[in-house]
Amino acid sequence: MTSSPITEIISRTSTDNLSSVVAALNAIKKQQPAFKHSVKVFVLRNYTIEGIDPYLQFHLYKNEINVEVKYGDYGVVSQYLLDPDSALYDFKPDIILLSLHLENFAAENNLPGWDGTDTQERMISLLELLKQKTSALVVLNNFLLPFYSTTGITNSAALPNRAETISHVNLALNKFSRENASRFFVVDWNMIMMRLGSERSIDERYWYLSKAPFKKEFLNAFATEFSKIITALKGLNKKCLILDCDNTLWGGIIGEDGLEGIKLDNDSYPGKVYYDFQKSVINLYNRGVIIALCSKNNPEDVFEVLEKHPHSLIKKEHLATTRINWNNKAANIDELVKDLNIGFDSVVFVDDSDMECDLVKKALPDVTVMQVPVKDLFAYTNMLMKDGLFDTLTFSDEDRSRTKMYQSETLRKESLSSFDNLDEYLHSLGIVVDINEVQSSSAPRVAQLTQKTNQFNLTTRRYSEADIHQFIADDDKLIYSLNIKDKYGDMGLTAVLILARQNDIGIVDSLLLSCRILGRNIEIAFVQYCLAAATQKWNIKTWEAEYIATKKNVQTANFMEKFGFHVTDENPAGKSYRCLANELVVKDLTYIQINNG
Amino acid sequence: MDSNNIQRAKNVLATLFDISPDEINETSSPDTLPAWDSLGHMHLVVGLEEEFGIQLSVEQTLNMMNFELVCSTVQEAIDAK
Repeated sequence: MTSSPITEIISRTSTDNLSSVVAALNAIKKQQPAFKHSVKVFVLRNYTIEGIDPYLQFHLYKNEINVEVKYGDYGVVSQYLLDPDSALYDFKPDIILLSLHLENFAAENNLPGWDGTDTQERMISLLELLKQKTSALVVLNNFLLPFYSTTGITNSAALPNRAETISHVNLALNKFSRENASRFFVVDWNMIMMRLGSERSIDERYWYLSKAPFKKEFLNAFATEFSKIITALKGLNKKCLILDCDNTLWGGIIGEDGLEGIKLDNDSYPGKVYYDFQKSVINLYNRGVIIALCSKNNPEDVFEVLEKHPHSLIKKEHLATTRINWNNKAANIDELVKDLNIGFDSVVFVDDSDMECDLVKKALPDVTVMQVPVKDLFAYTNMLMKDGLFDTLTFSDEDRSRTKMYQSETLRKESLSSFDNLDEYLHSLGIVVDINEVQSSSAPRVAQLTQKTNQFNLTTRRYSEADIHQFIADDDKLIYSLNIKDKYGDMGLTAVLILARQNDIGIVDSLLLSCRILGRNIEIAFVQYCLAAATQKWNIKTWEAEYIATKKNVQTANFMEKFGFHVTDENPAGKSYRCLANELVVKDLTYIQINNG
Repeated sequence: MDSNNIQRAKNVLATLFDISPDEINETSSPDTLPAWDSLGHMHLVVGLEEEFGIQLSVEQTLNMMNFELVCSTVQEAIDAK
């Protein structure tokens, strides 16, 4: 195992016990670890929220994210936003947590006559202020619904119903965040409350003593939900789910029990547990997660279940690829992941067997291995959902059609073998690329690519959607995107180049490509086209670029050299480059048709 | 409070305030331990409740303003179980 000391400490600590969490954090801090990621959070609040601190650190350390939290003064919110010299702007947070408690925001909320209108308006104008004055990602919570009705059992238009009013305000918050998706996120306090119940959530003692309303379990759950958003922002979400079959997708062994004998149905135990698990897999597929199978079976047995079993929700069309054979599973997964061209740390593997789980953990320590909870099978239904491992900030058309793209990639590879030489094959693909200056409508996808592309990424600079909008408006920045299709399908917006200028010097700020389009020299066609276009547009004399080394982007280490860039500085952290604009090398790539908009 | 429980209480403070148990004596208080601030006090209440399986009242939490009072308050809560 290559697991770090941090993950080792975290993995043997339970969040049930505050002392254990604090002890774990102290132990981690004493090691002064070099975190891979870091994030700065500013908290605007009107109640005592500091108790969340240990839990927030704990859940972020788990993903090797260091966190620096600064709390705004109690009850001071819009002042921080309106004063350009405030501690908020001074701190330059990546994320602003706006955590307001209704009791302190609208004390009149449980008095007769409250209809929520004023509360909603004040909330929305606060959100507008955050949107205009800051560029940070904003996380807010909604308001808790009441535990008892203030109007008793009466349902009358003359007595406004408080629960209904709060729901309306909450819906308005949701609507605002949806309209500003990728910048505003709502953590649903009521969902946490439903899960835990008020007994385990609310601390009346400290609410009345210190305006600290929540017990540790609620704070832990709130921190967990908040951490999911931060983890997704850092591009650390999982992208691929690899599943075993027997006793994972259904109960029993297909090779022995047969199609009628396996446990998979919609109305009995344990068949329904597997059915519900398949539902959660289908939901992930629908959100753009790559689904693959890796099992020791006869392939025809497995496909018979997928195609013929009345309760198999998972069908062949949901699968990007499969490895159904009798080989070593770690070797199968290794090959499968390399084939998909994704990182091992973005993969989750689910299996019921101790032995197989152990084998994969040892051989592929970066893969997240989850074992079917054989002894507590009821926990299986929500196993994939509760930690938010696959959560992404946004959802794009590319996410929706990802599996189709991988399936057509398999077809491309198969057809390759029927050609004598690569050039002939590439010509046969009929590649058409559209290269465009990015418009606002593509900003979510462009931001998403900067956040999650790890391998073919020259500088690995992560940008928010707000950053991208700023670049679009900035005359000294240019963002190019590339859409690609061929005879097997449309792969969508899969490459981004961000350029900046200082007088007649052009700077390559970012260059990233989705790995699934590599192997066709698309990246060369893209960069040479854009550099030529920008040279002309800006009248550039000299281009500068840099390569910033990370654990994963070694394949871009010698990329800029291909265009005639020469190295001006080189050290373990990366390289700096320069190239005269009139000395840029241009390759002839006749099999790629370039359109521009 | 017996010496075993006193040691357990010291360990709770030591963990939460990131100090050695030996640094804690009867007169240790928010005035002598920097980490024992208002948030530290909330954590202390939770930590003691976890360690001793007790539930402290508002008055009890307000009363525990030095280590000697922590011990007597915890003992009171244990006796009430």
